[in-house]
Amino acid sequence: MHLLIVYNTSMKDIKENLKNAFLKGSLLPEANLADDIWKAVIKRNQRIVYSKLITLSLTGFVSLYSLAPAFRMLALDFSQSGFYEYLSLTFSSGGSIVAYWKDFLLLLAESLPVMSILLFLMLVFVFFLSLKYAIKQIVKGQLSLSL
Amino acid sequence: MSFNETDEEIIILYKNGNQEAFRNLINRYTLPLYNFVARIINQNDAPDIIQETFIKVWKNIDRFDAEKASFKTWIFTITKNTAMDFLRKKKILLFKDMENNNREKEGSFEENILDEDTLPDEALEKLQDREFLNAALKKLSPNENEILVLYYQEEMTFNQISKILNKSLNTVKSQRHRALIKLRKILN
Repeated sequence: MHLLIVYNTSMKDIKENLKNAFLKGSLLPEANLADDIWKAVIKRNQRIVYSKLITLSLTGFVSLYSLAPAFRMLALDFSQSGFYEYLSLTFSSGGSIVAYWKDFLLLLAESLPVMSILLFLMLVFVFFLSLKYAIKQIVKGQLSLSL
Repeated sequence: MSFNETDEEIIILYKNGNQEAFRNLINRYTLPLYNFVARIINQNDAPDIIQETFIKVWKNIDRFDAEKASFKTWIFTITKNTAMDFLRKKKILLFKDMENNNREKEGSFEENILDEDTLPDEALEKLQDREFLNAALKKLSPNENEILVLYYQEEMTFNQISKILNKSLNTVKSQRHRALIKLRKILN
């Protein structure tokens, strides 16, 4: 029993010695390595932020620039589709519209320039989405600059 | 800013917008990772590999799952993979080591042996000298080095080491044993 305790204690000592040897033999990096790594992370973050910001700004600009012709096309399509004429019927012959309101609504819907509306809404959506993410990237960039 | 929180708590802080928390992780792990990489690769390339490791950690921190493994295991796994990528790029990966790894994937009968027994007292005394230890470890393969460093320096369990090195528990145990035998031969 006594021998077993001595043996176990000795084994524990050897293990501890080996651990101590590794700890004592620990290699030391340059003092500013952690700071350099932190700076590299920030730099990488800024690079990603800038590239995203450029892409988002370009997308936002293109969608905003396309909004004017898309709006003109939408207005033209509305006037050519007869939508306004049908709509004006609601003021001139309100009684008949109430009687045939289902048919009238269908007619009104059919006269809508769907493609132009979709294009216009899509451009508005892309513009606001890129604006939202661009603001996010600016905040991120400012955060990393402040660190 | 000082952090007394666990790694996992620091990661939550970082995810909640505390950018400085990540800096604390860097401060906490630079020295252990440096020792690990410097031993299995070399001291000159270690800073670049660690920097690359931290950038990978920063990019993938959202993927970290504390339920699968501890942060320490996770970051050491990334470090090991980054170091292996570095070696592959430099084309200095020794085919001999790879062959040994495959051979040693099978379980070993040596797993129950108390391995530290293979090192005599005089050898352990010699190892107390930093230069001597480093010179001795340089003579071991990167594979043997990483196991000894993770086990004795980082005080990791066999389970953690097997996850990091992607090897079975028995393989890790037998490889540590072989590494110690080799170390003894070197010391003799």
